[in-house]
Amino acid sequence: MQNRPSIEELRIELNDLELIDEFAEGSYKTVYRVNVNSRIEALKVLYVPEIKGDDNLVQQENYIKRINREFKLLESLQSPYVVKLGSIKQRTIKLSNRKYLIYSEELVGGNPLDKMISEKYIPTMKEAAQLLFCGLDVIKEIWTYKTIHRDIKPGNIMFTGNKTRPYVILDFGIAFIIGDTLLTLVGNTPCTPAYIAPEMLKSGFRDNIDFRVDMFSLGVTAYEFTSGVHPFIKDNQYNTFKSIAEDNAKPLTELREDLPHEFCLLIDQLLKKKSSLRPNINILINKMKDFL
Amino acid sequence: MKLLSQHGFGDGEKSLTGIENKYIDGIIYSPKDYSPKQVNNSIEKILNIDAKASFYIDPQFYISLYALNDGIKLGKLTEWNCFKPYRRNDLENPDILQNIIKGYLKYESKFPVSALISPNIYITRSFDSIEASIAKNFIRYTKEVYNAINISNKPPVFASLVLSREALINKEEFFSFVNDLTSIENPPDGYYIIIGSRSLQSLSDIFDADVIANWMFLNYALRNNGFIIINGFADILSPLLGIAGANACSTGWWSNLRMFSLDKFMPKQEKGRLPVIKYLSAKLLNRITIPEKSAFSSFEKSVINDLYCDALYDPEPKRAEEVLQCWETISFLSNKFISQDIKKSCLDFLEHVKQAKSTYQMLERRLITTDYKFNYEYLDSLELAIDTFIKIAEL
Repeated sequence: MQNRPSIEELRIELNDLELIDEFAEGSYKTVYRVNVNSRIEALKVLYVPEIKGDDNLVQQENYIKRINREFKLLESLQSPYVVKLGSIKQRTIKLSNRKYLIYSEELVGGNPLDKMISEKYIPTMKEAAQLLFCGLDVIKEIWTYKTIHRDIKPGNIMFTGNKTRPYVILDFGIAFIIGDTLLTLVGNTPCTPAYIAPEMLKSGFRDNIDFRVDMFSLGVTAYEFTSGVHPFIKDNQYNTFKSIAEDNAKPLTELREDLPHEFCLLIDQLLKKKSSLRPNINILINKMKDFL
Repeated sequence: MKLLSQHGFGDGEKSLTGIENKYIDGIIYSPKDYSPKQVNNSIEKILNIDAKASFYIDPQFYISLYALNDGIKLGKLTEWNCFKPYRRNDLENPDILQNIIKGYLKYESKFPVSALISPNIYITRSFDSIEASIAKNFIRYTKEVYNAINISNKPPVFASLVLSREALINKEEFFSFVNDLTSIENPPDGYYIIIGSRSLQSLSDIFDADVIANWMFLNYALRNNGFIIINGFADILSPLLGIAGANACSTGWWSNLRMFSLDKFMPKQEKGRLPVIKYLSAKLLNRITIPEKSAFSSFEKSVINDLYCDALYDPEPKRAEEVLQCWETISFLSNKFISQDIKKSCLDFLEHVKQAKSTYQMLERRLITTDYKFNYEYLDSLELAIDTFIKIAEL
């Protein structure tokens, strides 16, 4: 993370909290384990970027307001498959003259999907169907708030092994919102390149995207988890984008002959370039129920 | 896939006979040609023969914007209480739009139809036009209005989608429009799709590779999204639309029932004469005259379909029987090619088109000294259309 504070700085500033250790870092945040009333939660520390120019303070305030709106949304979500906010409510802190936003989430036990993929885990059909069911449930609910996650990928999904809550989607919208703002400022690409929907590679995409970009990302995730192979990834970002925009993925049934053909076809359909060709979300959720 | 009669002037007993002999599965009624009482009587007769027949009423609302034009031929539309003229400006008012939909749905619900078809205007220009916005609003409000009205034994509700070939050939706008259709919240249960040409003489308007491919794509995308789709005026394109996912297609006995154009409502420039009776050859995917049938089949027997209605062409059927042969042939082609494997069906049909071309080329060589005109360019359009559809549908 840019301008990452040291854990010692944080312990001094947050002397009311028992910081245990740092356990994850991303481009725009660092995550620490924190003990809150004998419950271990994940404390997230986000750097509030400084914007060059006279209106830096105004822009920062707007940025924080926007993040707060996202928090309100996260609080409203009913789906059990979304990470829940923790007991530390969001607030801004200042360290070495820099602003940071902090808040906590539940610490979800289990394995992130990217780790399972790298360890060549082969999911059963039920596990693959559960991933789709949980993911689609989240996508459908957040769309009722006219919001899309925009960063669904194996690294943001935890496989919990819990029967009632087999998968939990993390980093709901927050990381992307930050990235989106920086996109405006410094020209970075939002989302994780290998999971981005093809319509997001077009200019003016903001006018044309909807929840189906998340369905594509979920489809890529499910394909990769189920087969161990990413459908589009190439040697560099440009070629990966080109592949996402132009190449048809190998039919999943050729990589997992043990899975029902109809199930594999549904995942293949999620990878269609045109969002109108991806299956209807309600129909897909019902079909996944049949496979569970 | 079901095949329906595209009802129009001079039905007589055609549709009844078609259903009786199981060449067709139902009717899309034309209010221009049948009063409400006539529709009721027709439905009653047909239900006595086939209780499972499908009935729909084409709202023909698209003519409302032209209803005050000089010489416009509204026929029996004026006997339908839901019909009245509108100006385009009226339709930019959401309240008026919703009242129109309510009026049509309530009126149609008085008939034992298989689905209510919501009205819509004709998109004659691009999907970027005000017309297209109005049309999208008609679609958006359809289910909301349908849910709010009190009808017993509510059948499903379809939205009308009436598009010109001009609208269909702009690929970027077209795909964007389909994206919008498939993301509407509270969508209708299905669509009644009509693709129109500039005039009945402009056959190439419809037999254009991009028009056919995009028409197929529309069916494919909507079907993928769980919609029921009926295509009006589909004629010989019915098997292709069925391959792409259509639930039903329709065609009729006049050229203006096989291809849609607003011509049928416009004043006639000259007095028409009855068209020559023709034979629809499955092999050639084309209608040929009776002398052509005789000449061609002497060199290539498979030009004859070898179906039941061939017996009517001994030597020439009654005019009312021509459409029975047409329906039988289209049903035959649909049953032969439509399958669960869309790509395979496309490739099989493509092969059939290539064989039709080869047959024409052979006949052309054999009959070179005769006056027969061999116009089979439409087969090139079909071939390219199928190739294009396979690409754009990402099969």
